[in-house]
Amino acid sequence: MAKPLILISHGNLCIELKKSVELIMGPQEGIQTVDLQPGEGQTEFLQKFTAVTKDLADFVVFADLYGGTPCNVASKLLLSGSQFKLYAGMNMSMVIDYLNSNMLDNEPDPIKGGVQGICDVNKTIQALDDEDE
Amino acid sequence: MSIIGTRVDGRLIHGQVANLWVTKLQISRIMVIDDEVADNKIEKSGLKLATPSGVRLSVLPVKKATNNILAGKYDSQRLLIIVKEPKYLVDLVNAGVSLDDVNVGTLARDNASKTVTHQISVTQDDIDDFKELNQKGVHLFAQLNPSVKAEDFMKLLQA
Repeated sequence: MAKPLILISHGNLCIELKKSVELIMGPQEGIQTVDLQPGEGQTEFLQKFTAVTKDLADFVVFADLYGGTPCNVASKLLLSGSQFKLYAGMNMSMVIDYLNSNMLDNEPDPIKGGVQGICDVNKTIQALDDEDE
Repeated sequence: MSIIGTRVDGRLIHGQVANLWVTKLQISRIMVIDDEVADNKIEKSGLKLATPSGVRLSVLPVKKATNNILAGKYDSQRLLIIVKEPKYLVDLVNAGVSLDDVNVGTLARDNASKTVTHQISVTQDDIDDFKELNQKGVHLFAQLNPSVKAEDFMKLLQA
């Protein structure tokens, strides 16, 4: 059974990233989001995060930025003994790879999934190989 | 069986195809069949860039594609055939290639005579081609991604 995925971010990135992923992968009920809005701080974010995760036994969190408030709040929960997986530097490729791994019953590797979507397209164009029919 | 999936998609290789269907169907080779695209270097390179790593790509005119398939060139591979227009599938079937199922993904026609869904509009030629495929026993369905239900495309076309 796939673990629920929580996307957390500064502003609406997490909400919109979920929507963007759904454009490709279809509706994703297993993804929830926690957003940090202007004027909110660690306290408010912690409340929102706890409200979303309180009934979940096991889950995975992708944060937008290592060292930012959403990631920091989640890190502190880990330091206080909470049990979940936390990855920072989320991108669309990381989320799609996570969903695909679950679909294929493979163990997700979000770092690999996120990094494989980062690419110097100019270099890739130069390295295009020959015809393969 | 080398042909694992067949898709009609006006965008050919894009997010849904590269990230979702290729993974879902465990495809080892994408074959784009289109006489014009096969003759266009920039289009071909663009398709190559959009193909996921580890997946091979053929961009072929329909004659060559038919010959290669019938010669058994891909028998050990898992093939996903993608066309922009259903006419190429009619050519394949008439030449003796066996297609079981065809997923009609996105198809946006400038000169459409009928809008089938948000993502699919068709010309009269398309309609005739789909009918011919259906008569020849090809099961046509519309399914954007695996989390939504596959719909009977011929029913949508008649609605």
